[in-house]
Amino acid sequence: MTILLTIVLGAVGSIIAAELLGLAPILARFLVEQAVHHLPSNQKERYLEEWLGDLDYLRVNRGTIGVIFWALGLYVTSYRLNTALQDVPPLATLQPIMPAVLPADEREYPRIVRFAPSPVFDEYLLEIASHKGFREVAIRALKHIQASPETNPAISYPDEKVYVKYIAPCSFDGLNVPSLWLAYLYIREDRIVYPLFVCEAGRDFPDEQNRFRDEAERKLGKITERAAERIIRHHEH
Amino acid sequence: MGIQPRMTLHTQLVLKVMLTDVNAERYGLEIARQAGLASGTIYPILARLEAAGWVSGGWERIDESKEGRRRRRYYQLTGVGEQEAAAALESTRSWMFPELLGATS
Repeated sequence: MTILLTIVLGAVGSIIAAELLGLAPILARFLVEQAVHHLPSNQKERYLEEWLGDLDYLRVNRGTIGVIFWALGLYVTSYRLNTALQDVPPLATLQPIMPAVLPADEREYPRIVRFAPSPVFDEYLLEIASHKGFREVAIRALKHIQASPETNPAISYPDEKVYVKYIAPCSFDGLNVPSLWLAYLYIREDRIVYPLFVCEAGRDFPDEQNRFRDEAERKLGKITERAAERIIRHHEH
Repeated sequence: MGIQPRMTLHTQLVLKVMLTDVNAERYGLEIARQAGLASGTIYPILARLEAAGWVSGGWERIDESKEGRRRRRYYQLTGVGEQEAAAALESTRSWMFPELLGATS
């Protein structure tokens, strides 16, 4: 009788365990969805997609119980992520001064220098940033663009999906030459946000400043060509 | 004006992992595992590093229906992040948790 009872209990236990294990992915997904609820509304979709992608991976590679613990960890700490995301400063602190900088007939920005996506952009940003005077502005602006890329664009170009984010006067080679302007843009493609970089040189300044301007334009022109080639290759692949 | 990420021990561990190969694209889970952090710990850190411009994120480019799974998000140090992270780790390495962080180079 005892043996029979043991066999029956063992069989029932196995069935219950199997059922619970089968429910684990559903429970994990539920926990992920609940965790996402704690995040700012403009970040929910992004993190839901990221975490569900991880969940798919974990289900194959870590096993059922591991998935539950992972999802539980996300749920418990999602408040902290919410706080981290709230730390991002509002874009209102930026200076949307592009219209004041360029005359109306230059609004098409024929000499715009564009860099994308991020890794490519950074490489060229550093090349430019190595010049004294650009670095601080460049890094500061980069931080801004990375901080809050989706809200309140100063100017938008719907056809190109390009949005002006930030523009600031900067110096070049140690001279405070207001003829050089640095702008940071981003482009949205699908749901990916690529930062872009723009440098627009001014006009009609004293000869020495014009020399620096011309030098900068030449350099940026070459960099742009190379960046464009890499961007095209990146998108083709 | 800019945001400087807080140099907590966990942040430093994450940066140390990312500095081991600055060109590598890593998933959040992978960074967490290599840094020895729990799943929930990694994302606030990555969010702050992204906000600071030290890390950039991107989506995996796959055909989800063909692969039978969702795309995943990967993270990579930016050029600025590489410089700033190395400098930050170097400045804290000498006095803070040297046994955990080890050499940054």
